[in-house]
Amino acid sequence: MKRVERSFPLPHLIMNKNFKIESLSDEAVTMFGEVNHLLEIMDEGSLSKIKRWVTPEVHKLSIEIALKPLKEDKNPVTCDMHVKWKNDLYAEVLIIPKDEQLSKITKTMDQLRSRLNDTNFQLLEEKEKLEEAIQHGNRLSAPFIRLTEETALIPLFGHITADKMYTVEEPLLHATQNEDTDKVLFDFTAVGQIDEDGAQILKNLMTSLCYMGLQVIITGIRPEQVKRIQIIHFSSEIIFMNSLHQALKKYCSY
Amino acid sequence: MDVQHEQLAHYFLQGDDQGAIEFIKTMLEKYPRAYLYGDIITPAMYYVGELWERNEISVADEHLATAICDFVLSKLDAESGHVSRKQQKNFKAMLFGVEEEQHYIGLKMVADTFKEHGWRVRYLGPALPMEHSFTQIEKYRPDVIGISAALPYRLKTIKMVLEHFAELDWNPLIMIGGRLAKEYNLKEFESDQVMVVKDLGDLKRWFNEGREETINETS
Repeated sequence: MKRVERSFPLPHLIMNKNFKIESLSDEAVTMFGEVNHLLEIMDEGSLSKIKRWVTPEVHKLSIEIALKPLKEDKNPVTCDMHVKWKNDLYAEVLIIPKDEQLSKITKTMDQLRSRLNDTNFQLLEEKEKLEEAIQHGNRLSAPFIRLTEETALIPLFGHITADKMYTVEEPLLHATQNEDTDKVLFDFTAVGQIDEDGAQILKNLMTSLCYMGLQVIITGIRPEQVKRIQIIHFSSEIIFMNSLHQALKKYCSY
Repeated sequence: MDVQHEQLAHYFLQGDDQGAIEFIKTMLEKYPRAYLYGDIITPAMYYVGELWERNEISVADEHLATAICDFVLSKLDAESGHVSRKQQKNFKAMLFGVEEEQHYIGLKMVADTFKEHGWRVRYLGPALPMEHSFTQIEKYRPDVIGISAALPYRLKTIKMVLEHFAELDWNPLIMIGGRLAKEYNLKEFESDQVMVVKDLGDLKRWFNEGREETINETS
């Protein structure tokens, strides 16, 4: 059957083997303007690909290439380029932008990704806020309260964790050093769970206090905490008392 | 040994996230993370680009590979024991891809590298509208602002954001990275406040030796 003359409504051009354009279809002019050279309209990332593939040695070829951003656009345009060499000198070239469906999907994916990223970002912000709050809570979990000239009370609050103990360790050592304190009461009444790491640091803190010549008294241990306390092996210089009430009576009576 | 990145690229191209993660985890037992980023994952993605140039894969395949790589990086990030808050330094970095820029895999690895060095990091992702980036920066006041771009069409945008950043009163250090920094000469942008980071190796040197050394080495 007779083949149709080229009159298809698509960006179509004829060029020589040096990529110089000989003729253009109307559609090609609408898309690229009056260009003289094929490589002028190509994105840099595609140049070496085109030079490598578009040669008379490859008689017929379809490849993907990217055009420089068109008009208002800011991103390269992905196209399918179909090349057929009429002879060793001239080639017919069709350049067809990728199906819009594809770019639509790509765009949607990009939007989804950026939404995920935003959410991730918000979560991170919340996490940091929460960490600040925990840190703040930690700092307030072992206040140093002076009862008399010589006696101070440190009520411990909440879960004894390594983080919390690290946070309070230094301020407490400082506070005990600066005052004329010689007795420190640690009250466990408000303590919940005791972590192994946290307990270890607490023990070190108490031992340090003993070395500094202070007497350490622990009050308010509950039955369920006893097991953990036993494992820790507190220094034998530390005195245990049943309740804070008893301790106050003994050490704070004027 | 240089087939490793090709192997990884094939996991990416097949959409095999599990395979890619397992592959990377095995590598992590032998090599440090920085090596993996700079010498395996980055070359794997370049290899994907090369396959496109060889006309062996399409843009759709490239997108798939990027998505899988992104996923794998997120997963690694989530599973790595990041420096705990207590040991974290008080340095802050904010990273984003400039307006319209869709390439972001490198930037993500940079974000992770900062985290690994104990920095607090805000990674804002690719294609961040300029106004949005300005608001975020004013709010977060980072010590380092890292911007990334791959395509030469972004030069104008970069110029604009740099002008804006020069006016920030706390003088943050600005890093320009991405393929653009690697392939093009961006020396004209460099100043006391602005440095060009060509790749992860450059960044590593900056962490180890500070800025002066980096400049000395290249100049």
